[in-house]
Amino acid sequence: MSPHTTCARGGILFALTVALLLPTLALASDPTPPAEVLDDGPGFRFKLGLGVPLGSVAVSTIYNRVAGAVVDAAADSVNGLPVRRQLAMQWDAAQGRYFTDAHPFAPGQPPLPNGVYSQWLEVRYTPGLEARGRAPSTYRRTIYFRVTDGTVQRLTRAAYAALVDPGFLRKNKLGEMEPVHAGATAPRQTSAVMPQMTMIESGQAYSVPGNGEAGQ
Amino acid sequence: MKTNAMNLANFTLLAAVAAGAAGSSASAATRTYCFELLFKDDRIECPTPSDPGAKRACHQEFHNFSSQPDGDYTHPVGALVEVWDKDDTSDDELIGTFILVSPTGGCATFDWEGASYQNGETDPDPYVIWKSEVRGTAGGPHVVARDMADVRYGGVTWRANALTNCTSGASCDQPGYLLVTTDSTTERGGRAMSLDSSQHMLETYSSILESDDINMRWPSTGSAAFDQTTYEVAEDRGDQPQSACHELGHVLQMQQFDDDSLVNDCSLNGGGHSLNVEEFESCATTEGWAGYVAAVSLWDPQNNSSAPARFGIDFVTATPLEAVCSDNAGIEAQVVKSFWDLDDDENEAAAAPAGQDDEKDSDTIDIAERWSVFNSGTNNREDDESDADGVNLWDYHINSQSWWSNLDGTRHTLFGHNCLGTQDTN
Repeated sequence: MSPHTTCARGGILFALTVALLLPTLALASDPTPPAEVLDDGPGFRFKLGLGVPLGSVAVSTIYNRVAGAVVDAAADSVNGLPVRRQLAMQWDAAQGRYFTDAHPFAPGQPPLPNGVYSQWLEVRYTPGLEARGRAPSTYRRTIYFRVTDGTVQRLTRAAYAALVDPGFLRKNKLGEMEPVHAGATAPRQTSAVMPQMTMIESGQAYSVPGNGEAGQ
Repeated sequence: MKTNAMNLANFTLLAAVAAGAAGSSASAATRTYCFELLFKDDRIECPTPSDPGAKRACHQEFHNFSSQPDGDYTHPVGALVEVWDKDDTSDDELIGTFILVSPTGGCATFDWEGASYQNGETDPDPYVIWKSEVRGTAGGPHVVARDMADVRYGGVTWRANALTNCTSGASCDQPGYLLVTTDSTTERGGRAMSLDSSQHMLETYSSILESDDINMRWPSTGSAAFDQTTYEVAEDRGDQPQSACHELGHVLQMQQFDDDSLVNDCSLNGGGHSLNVEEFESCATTEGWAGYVAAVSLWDPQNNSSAPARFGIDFVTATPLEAVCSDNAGIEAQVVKSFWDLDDDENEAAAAPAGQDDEKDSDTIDIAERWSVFNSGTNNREDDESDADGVNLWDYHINSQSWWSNLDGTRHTLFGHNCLGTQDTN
């Protein structure tokens, strides 16, 4: 047996060992909800991931931001626009999945003013009597879009954030430029007694070059 | 049981120590600058102030603001903030880094005269920067938010709202509220919620988590834990506080194993796993453990009215999820319930098809530390046991047999009460 053959067999044995071990060292992840919205891409048609009977699930859209302004998601309507709208679930035989159409220009919906929008696609699961130890539960995915003169365009989260929540650069304590956002303020409604905070580190330490950000 | 009250007491003690250590000049007069931070809170499946057993509630306060969106807001307890001195003619100076310890706001007291950051100014013009970092206790472990390119996020600044001339002896109160976010659907909004959710877990497990930075990458395509210091939160789970806490549960288990991997075979039904769908026992146990960590991070197991649940599955009810007892061995949510029963004060009677009572009220930290006794390796009872059904609850129980008080009660609670006794004993 040549050294190459030995080496190759050793490699195969190693690969088999790794392959056997791999399933057991799988990524530790979060559980799948009983019903969820799967974001398919740029449009407004969304696949539904259902691990429960169709009849126990309801899908709605809920506006969070309308024409640039964050709204009260618990309100019935904002300027005549219903905040919550129930969506139909339809069967896609080709894909073997249910989907929902969340296009904001649906029949019966009032015209949308220009601006940036965000809304939740909310899936509500209400278990039947056959489900042991279960109560209703909610899953949400956020979608973003912009309306311009009667046309609508989906936005990514990053594009939405760039429009409504732009950042800028400032010098951090190390003198390096870092992106930050400007905070908002609101008038105080109640007075509060505020306790002392714990000082983690005095700014005096940063007169010394070489201090890192790790652990700070 | 480590309670929030105990942690806050630790904060106060450390505050006194840190304040003493920070003093640089006996003659320096101090300044005290007070402010109140809030972030928009649209989280789901998290106890609110009216829910019994909430360790630190989500949706802390409803605000009907005249100038900002109405809705629920929460104080970011455990958040790191920097206090800076604003200068118009030179770079601003960092005065210090502080940790918010109270759900009502906080005051930063610092030296001024003689401090290096005074820079010749008579009085400071202080302002706040909220850092994208949280801690369980002042000196404890940290979670630092990073983007998906692994770059540390910057903060939120109120430089434009800096107070002018905070004089010695004056009440330097920042007017109004400082709002970290007003829209929970932005990247920043999800980051603020995920960090605060993570802080719940840190506050519960600070005493045993390692003190290195734990990196939270956000927003990811899926929540997952990667090693002893890294986890991700999915873009559609920033509003699910149990998602961040669940991943930190994996991080905690890896730290207890001192191993950057977990035995977690969730391939029985293809990819992914669900709370109530049968999986291999290593998956049910590892994921169930993480689910329990999330529950105990948000709800107090010593409060008999606590009602932890996720995706609608009640983790308290005594009735097992599957009607046939042996069918529960691979059910993730049943393992969540088993660990919760081991920890909680309430010792409920058996419910069919289970045959034994919940008999134990153990300690959250002790329960977590039982993972640390696993030896490294791939053999039976070791932390990387090469078997789809191991590491499971029997490995957890048997590796600590000599440690548990009331061993029978522990076994009844973990197995008989939760129909998990048919898990593989190897």
